[in-house]
Amino acid sequence: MKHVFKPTMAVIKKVVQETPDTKSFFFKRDLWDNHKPGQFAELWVPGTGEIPLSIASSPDDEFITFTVKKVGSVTSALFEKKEGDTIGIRGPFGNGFPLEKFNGRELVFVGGGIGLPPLMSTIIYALGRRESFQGIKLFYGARTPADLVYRDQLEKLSEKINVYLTVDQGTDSWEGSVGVVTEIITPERVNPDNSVAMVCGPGIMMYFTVKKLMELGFKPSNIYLSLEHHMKCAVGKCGHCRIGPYYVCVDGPIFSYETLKEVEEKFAGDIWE
Amino acid sequence: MKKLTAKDFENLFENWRNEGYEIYAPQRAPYGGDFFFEKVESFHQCEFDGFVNTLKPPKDFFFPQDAPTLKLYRKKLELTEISKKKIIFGIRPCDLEGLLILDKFYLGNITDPFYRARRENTLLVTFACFNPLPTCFCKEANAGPVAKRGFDIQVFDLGDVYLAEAGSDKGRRYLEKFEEAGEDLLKKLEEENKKTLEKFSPRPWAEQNLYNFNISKDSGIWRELGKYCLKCGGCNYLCPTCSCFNTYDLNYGGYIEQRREWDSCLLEGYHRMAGSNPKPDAASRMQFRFECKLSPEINKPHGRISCTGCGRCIQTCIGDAHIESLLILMDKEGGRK
Repeated sequence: MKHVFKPTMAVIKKVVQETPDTKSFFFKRDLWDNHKPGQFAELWVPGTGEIPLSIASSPDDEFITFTVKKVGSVTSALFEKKEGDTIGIRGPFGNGFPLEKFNGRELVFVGGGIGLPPLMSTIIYALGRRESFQGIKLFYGARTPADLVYRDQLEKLSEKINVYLTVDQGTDSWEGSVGVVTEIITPERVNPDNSVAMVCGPGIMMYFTVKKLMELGFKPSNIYLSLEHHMKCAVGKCGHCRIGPYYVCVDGPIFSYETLKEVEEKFAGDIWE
Repeated sequence: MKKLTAKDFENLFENWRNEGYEIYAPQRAPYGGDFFFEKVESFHQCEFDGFVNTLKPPKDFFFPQDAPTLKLYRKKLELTEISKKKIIFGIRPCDLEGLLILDKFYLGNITDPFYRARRENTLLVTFACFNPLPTCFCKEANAGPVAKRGFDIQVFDLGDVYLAEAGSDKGRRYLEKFEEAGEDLLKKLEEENKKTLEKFSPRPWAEQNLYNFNISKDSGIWRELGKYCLKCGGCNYLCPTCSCFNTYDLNYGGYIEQRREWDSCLLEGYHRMAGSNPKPDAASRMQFRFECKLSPEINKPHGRISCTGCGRCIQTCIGDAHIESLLILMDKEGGRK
């Protein structure tokens, strides 16, 4: 068995600047055999530290990709890395979205800011198995048009699925919707009876999205959230990411709201932070 | 049950050393009087006089306070798994039970290779307790004063003579050659064990509340404990079952180490993420800590509560935000049945 704490030293094949403060890092597909959309990996910048990051690419893609926002010491060190540099990677970890359970359903994706990458991995994967699902829709919001990641990809994607975009603050050239993402999820656009929602974004955005989806008639068991949490080991040992009886790294990062509701009501901590 | 003398132990020690074992036994610190497990060469070096328990739990041997896990030098990545033949001589039943919980946690589900390497090739020699401290409540926590499982050898120090029983094949092999203890000694042991149980400070609030943990998230108990918690992490570090760790890098200029150190769920940095903190106050961290110790859901994989009644948190906490206070507050709120 592979050593769970030994990273593979991997060469960065390509770096793409997505927005002013996000970059995508591309690695060879043979880093591991397979992964599930929604899973994550640990990226180690030797000398600085290790962080968990969602896998942004679909298992079907040519590369393994991570899209990173510069927020702390490790992401800042990662931002200094260029094509040809080497970093350590461990993974894939976590459960991923249980797409096998969603056969025949409409997939509703709701993303906020840097929360789009794990959803993108899932959307691309689902598109490759389109006949399994009734439909695919994406609702995505960011602070400003410049903060929308994967702009080009989203444009191409909108030819195949319904893509609804919104920004908190528009610009002169922005012709799309202005407002928070919950405002563009309207009763006409979703059918809660046969849909399953997958949500990823900042805590406050997920909190209000869940609220909105429930108002629209979604059951807690049909809402899946990709959680982010302070974590170190990714294998359920370091303890940081424990929420109630679950470890975000092993039992998550994908949880149904049905499960999270119980954790939220009973156990320590604010799951929306 | 076998009968052994000090001389027999001297011989056993020699035997063990010849087999390549390093032996760790209680030693009193030169200043202050706390006990620590230190390497010894012979039985007479062990300091059992006045010894109740060590300041640090023996988890240190298998889950060190701070140690490297990875080394990276000139693109060569090395794991630092350390496996040494060692004997923990004089481990108390509460700490043995703590270790069994750590075993379940670190070796179950996904195995932690660093813990496994340190844990294998270990011989555990328990010393049953006859003189509990006022802070000890292994009796209620079902972890002592006599070990029921998990030891290779359990020793009963009756003053002028030692009784020893084997708990594993490994332990049995070493005890085979000694003579069986006679009826009179067994009777004496039974009496001593009975007397020991009477030496514990009465804790009418302990048993029921240890096994009926069900405090709501908005309970005033958490705020009350949070008021007195200094967020120092002392209880975590000294707890035989606290297993959380932080990993960090050290860069010696080209030579890089990834290290693992004990972490504490009472510290700010344990919970903080870039831009948010799900547990910003001491009250929620108190809940986080104690649900880890007592919640039936969380402790299901261990098959028991994660408190062994060693009393270290009670001795250490300056603010009295320890398990005893929790149990007393639970008792006040729920009313004893």
